[in-house]
Amino acid sequence: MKRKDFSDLSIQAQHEKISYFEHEDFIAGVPPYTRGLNATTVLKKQLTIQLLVNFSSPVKSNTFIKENTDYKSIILEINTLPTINSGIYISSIEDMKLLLNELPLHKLSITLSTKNSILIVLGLFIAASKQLGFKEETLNLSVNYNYKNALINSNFYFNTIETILTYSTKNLPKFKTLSISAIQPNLKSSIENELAFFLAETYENLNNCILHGVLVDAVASKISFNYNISGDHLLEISKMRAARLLWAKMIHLLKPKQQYSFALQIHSTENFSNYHKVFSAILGGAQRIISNKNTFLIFENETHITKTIDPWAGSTFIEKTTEEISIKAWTLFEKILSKGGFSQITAQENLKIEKVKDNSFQLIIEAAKNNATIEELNSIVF
Amino acid sequence: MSNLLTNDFQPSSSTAWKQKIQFELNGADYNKTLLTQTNEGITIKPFYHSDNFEKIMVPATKNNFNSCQTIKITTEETANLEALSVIEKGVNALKFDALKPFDFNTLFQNLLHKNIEFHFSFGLLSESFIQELCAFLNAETLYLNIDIIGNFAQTGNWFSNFNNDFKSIEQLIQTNPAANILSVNVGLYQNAGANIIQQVAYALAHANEYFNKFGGNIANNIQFNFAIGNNYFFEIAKIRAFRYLLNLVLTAYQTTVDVPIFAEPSFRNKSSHCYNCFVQRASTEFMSGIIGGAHTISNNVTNKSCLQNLINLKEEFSTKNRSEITEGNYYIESLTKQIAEKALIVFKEIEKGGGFLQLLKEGTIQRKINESAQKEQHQFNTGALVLVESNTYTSKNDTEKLDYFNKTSTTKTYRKTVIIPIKAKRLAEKLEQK
Repeated sequence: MKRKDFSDLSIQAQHEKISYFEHEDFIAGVPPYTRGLNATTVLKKQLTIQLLVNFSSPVKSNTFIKENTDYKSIILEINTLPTINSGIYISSIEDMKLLLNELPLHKLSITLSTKNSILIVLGLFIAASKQLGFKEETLNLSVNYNYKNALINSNFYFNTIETILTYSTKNLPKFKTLSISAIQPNLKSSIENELAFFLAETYENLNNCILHGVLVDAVASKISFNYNISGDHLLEISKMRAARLLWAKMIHLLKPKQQYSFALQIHSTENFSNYHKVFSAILGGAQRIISNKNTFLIFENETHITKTIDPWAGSTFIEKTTEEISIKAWTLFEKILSKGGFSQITAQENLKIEKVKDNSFQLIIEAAKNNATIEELNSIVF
Repeated sequence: MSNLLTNDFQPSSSTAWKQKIQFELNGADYNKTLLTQTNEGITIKPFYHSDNFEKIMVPATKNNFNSCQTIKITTEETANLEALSVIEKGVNALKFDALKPFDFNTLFQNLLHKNIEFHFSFGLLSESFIQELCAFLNAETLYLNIDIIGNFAQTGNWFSNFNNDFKSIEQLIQTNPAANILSVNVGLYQNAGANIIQQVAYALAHANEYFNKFGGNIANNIQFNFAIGNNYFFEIAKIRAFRYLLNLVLTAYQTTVDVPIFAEPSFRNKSSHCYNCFVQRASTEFMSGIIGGAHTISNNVTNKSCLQNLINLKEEFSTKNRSEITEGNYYIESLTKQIAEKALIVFKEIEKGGGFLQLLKEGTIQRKINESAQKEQHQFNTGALVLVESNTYTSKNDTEKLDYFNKTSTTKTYRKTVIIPIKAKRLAEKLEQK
């Protein structure tokens, strides 16, 4: 056969999109931040990889941190109940001092996480670090929060978040974030539930802060979204984009003056041993996850995926899913508000709603310094 | 309803975005700081926006893909057992690597009539054996993957000679019109160090030798075997660009084809250190293959974690419209167009020079691949190209050695060859010998 002549073959380029979604033209680095908090991935480090510390012995956990000095960000999973077998068992300030012994607390970024009362864990941490010679203003601290942290004996202490925000605003200038997970056992596990309840819970607490004289700009940027990640890669990327958009929209209701209040940081406290979830976290634009270093290093150095921001933008699937999730979650958020807000809805779940008293948290810190037991600390709040 | 999401905020143009970046750069040079130049001559921009949207009409791909396990036949019994075990785990395609003829009855015991696709690669071309195999498997879906040009490129020799090789193929096609007899082994070029543009262009030029000999309709009987490397979005775009260009080339033959692509992870970027790194690399490469629109994705080593990840991915993507994932994506659409444009130029040059076989005989293709491979090797040796736990970020306690790789490239062959053979070579090969 005579060879064909391909010299006239040419490519027909097109510039029209088949599908177009109105929110596509929001850019990264400005509200509503759908495409990411930073204008590029290159100028600012996007993702922090945390070391999870959870040996039940405080001494063993302390040694583990000292053996992993290449991690500058660590997460301490703390357990104050002798009956629970997960996390570092801390029964008093002395245990906390063993855990923090000779650690450069002013240089580390530390996240506290617990299944028990977060006020007591945070109180013990602050008391112990003071006794170890670190001033509160040097502490680079973050706190994870979910409903269990405010729930004792079927009493839900609705203003726990507000208590931490108010305290940190006054006393912890380097406080980083209160990372909130809105997953609740009585809720059907769905993306719109997770997002809508996160918005409703933070909206209520921010409103309360404002009512008590705190400016929204002083506290909004201290809240981050502690997300629950499923195995569906593209869905998770869409969810993180939707979460940023929805946060900006919710914050808009509170009329902040500062642009940074509109920017939602996204964290996860799941242990990402799996490459797949780390991959979703990077492409969704998360700020902090727990993972082993190699997993992230391979993505960062070998796959080129961090060379451009929000690389999935424009995809029909991703944009359609981002829109669907956003509309469903926002509609549900409005429904929660119309029913009286987060605490009212929670009260319907057979929980008694209680209030943390105004100076309780300061009293916890003082009692902790005097070597109070967990029970004694509990009795201060509850 | 949709303005619910947009009524509180103003949209921004790509110009506004660039201005914002330039402000944050605080005087640093935009081009030097934020643009990434790749070995393909493509520049990755710090952001892509609908303002600069560009695309080519890549044909849609079917939603379902096959998950495949590659099995080396050392004995028919062990290969059969491995096949049964991976089918149990969830694969619906098998690829058998056979160096010599094998016993059908033993190999396929309990494997037939299960809706499994069978792929093969043969170390020899025995027409009679393949005729018997086709007859034996006539009720099954078959991909024989015979690539006489690929074999010529890889070994430097024809199986028999030019005329006999082509005659055998002709015979096989005539007697087995339903079987997918031929393949184009593009993976060889990737594994030897060709860049993405070269891979796409060589795949086209290689295929065009078959079209030239057998006519464009033979495209329906050819499978294209790609090796997927680590540049995640480029690899997605590579497969899409090829699917577009092959149909563009086929317009000259007045035909079109739903291009069957068989994709497997490359060995080029794999290291014998760090098990988890291996699994992660292979698994993200599966994803590039899936999203790019390959028909079959194969786990080409015996590694349970990789296989499980592939099976999980099949489940995860089973409900998704694959074309919808890439369609409209600013970055991938732009990369697809750029790769297609550049590869078309190379393809035309090859055709102008007398075609792929001619340039193989002249050694031009080998020289071009070698140039690209040398450049990449230099980047690896100097640390500009990073492989974690291989040339960078090595941990002292990683003593595990993975044994997935053929040792062929280190053993010297003294066979006389008609042309210079194209050899697969891993970047870390030399480093690991130290």
